[in-house]
Amino acid sequence: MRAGTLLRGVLTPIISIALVFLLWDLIIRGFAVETFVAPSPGETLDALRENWSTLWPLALETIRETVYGFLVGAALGFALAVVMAQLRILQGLIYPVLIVSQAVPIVAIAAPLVILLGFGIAPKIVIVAWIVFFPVAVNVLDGLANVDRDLLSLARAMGGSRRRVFLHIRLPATVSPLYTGLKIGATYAVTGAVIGELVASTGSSLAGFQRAANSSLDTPAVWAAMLLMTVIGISWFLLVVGLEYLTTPWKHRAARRRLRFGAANDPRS
Amino acid sequence: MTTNRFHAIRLAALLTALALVATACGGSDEGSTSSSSAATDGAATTTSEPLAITLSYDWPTVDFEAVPIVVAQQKGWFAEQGVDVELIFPPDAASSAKVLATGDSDLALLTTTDIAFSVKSELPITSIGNYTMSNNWGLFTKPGTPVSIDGLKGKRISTYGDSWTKAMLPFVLDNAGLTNKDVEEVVVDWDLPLLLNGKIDVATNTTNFMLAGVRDETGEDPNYLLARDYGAPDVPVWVYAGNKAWLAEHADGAKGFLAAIAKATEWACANPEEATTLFGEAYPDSGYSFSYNRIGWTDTCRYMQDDAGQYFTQTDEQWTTLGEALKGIGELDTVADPSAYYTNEYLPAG
Repeated sequence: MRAGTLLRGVLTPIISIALVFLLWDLIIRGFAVETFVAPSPGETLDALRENWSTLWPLALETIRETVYGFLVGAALGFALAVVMAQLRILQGLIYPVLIVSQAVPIVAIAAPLVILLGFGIAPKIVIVAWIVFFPVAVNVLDGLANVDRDLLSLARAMGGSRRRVFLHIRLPATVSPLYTGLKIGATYAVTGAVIGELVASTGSSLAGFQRAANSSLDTPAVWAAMLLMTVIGISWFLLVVGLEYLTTPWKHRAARRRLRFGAANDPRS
Repeated sequence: MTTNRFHAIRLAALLTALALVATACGGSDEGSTSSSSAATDGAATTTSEPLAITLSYDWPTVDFEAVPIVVAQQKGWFAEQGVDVELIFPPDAASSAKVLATGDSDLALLTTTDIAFSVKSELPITSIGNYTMSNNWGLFTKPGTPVSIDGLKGKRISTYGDSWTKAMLPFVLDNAGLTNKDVEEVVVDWDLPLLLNGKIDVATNTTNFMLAGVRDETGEDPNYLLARDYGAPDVPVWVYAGNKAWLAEHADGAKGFLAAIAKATEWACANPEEATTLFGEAYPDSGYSFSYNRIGWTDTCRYMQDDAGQYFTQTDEQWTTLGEALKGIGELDTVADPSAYYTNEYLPAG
């Protein structure tokens, strides 16, 4: 039963990605799209293989920027949400700024960030953190705002201190929304790192490679870099999903119980 | 009260959405301009329907390098030649060649390296005339900071990560007895603010854009050295190019285009103030000041004729030299026969 579920869990996304590749290939062939406009999956994978020795070290750098920025953004977003939930007046003051911060086009602030912070990893971390902290903050804030009122009343009636209520009721209630925010942030984080690389980088970068390949009309190499960026984004998302699975065992235990309970009450069983 | 407020919010949201939709639908299309809508003060001698030509620019937004095209439109010189030119803008700087190759444009303004890579990738395009006749690419420092070939070691040099810079910079470094390990190369999106803020020591660019940017911003000139004086090949940076299939079908259109451009270029270089004014009128929302455009265009003119005073004429030597330079940095495996890169077939007579 568990092996079957696991197989389904692994096979389904693989089939779905394979279908995307198939559709991509069909579009390129069906519409006779020239390679210099958009390469086929095969040409892109060939370019990825040919340029692998150049691309891999660059990808490692992009991963480093993504991870650091993600951790900073997630920590900031979480802390900000907790503080805002505790101090309503602060929430009233900060929440609109939070929304405004996301309405500002990130590319517009990327250049000033480079002037202020230099060409190293710092502006990239800030840009990734800027992208990640918003979904984390908003989701955690929602989680804190929707804690079961009866549970809170019960805890208070039983003499629970403010600190204990926070640690044992409010904080655990943020876990699910926190992971939702982290998963949204994970998919966008690599985009932030690439924007940072595009604005300014010392030496080589994945975005720089892509720009140079584009300048040389080497479209398969451009798409190879794009594919690698996508893989980094997906891997980071999967890592967060894995982390969620490991750190919230009660969620899948509850799901299994529901399944078992449902099966036992199924008239066909 | 609450219901009224809810209705008011819904109404406000609806009106906002409608306003956004109306703005999106009614916004002016700044992505292209056509001579058919341009005011003309010259008499059109062709009475038949003009040949519609689409020209893809070399940059996603318009700048002073479009002055000859604008002048030819505004003065009616395209119409005199029986052509009607629409300028379109590619999504990024490298896409103009692709737009031309797919036939989405008939002609294009491209860099010479675009042509070299197009031949490598077998794109069906060819260069039909030089835009500039020599290499105005160089190394720049901010006003008040001297630049010298001997002082490059250890400097932070910005590039755009483009193939032209990749091809040219090694010549200059080699001339200085350096390699790329002796300098810190920074790939940037826009060099001017970084140069003026002292975040980079040296910027690489062409004189027309850097002089215009620095002088317009600070009122002073940057210091610079031209790469061609320090070992880099003196080859043109930009060319007019055509789609091969379109050229085969519309040879007269291509000739007419270049004839009008020749007239417009000559006039615009002799009258930079008026030419810049015409450009400003055609593109009032370009984002550049009159002074920026005038400085940039005036400097561009310095490189548009060869020693014999000729416009456009290409040579085997320029293409072979460029090809060898690109081969030298590993961007090309082989240098094709010069005829693969260009033709002078459509140049105006005389």
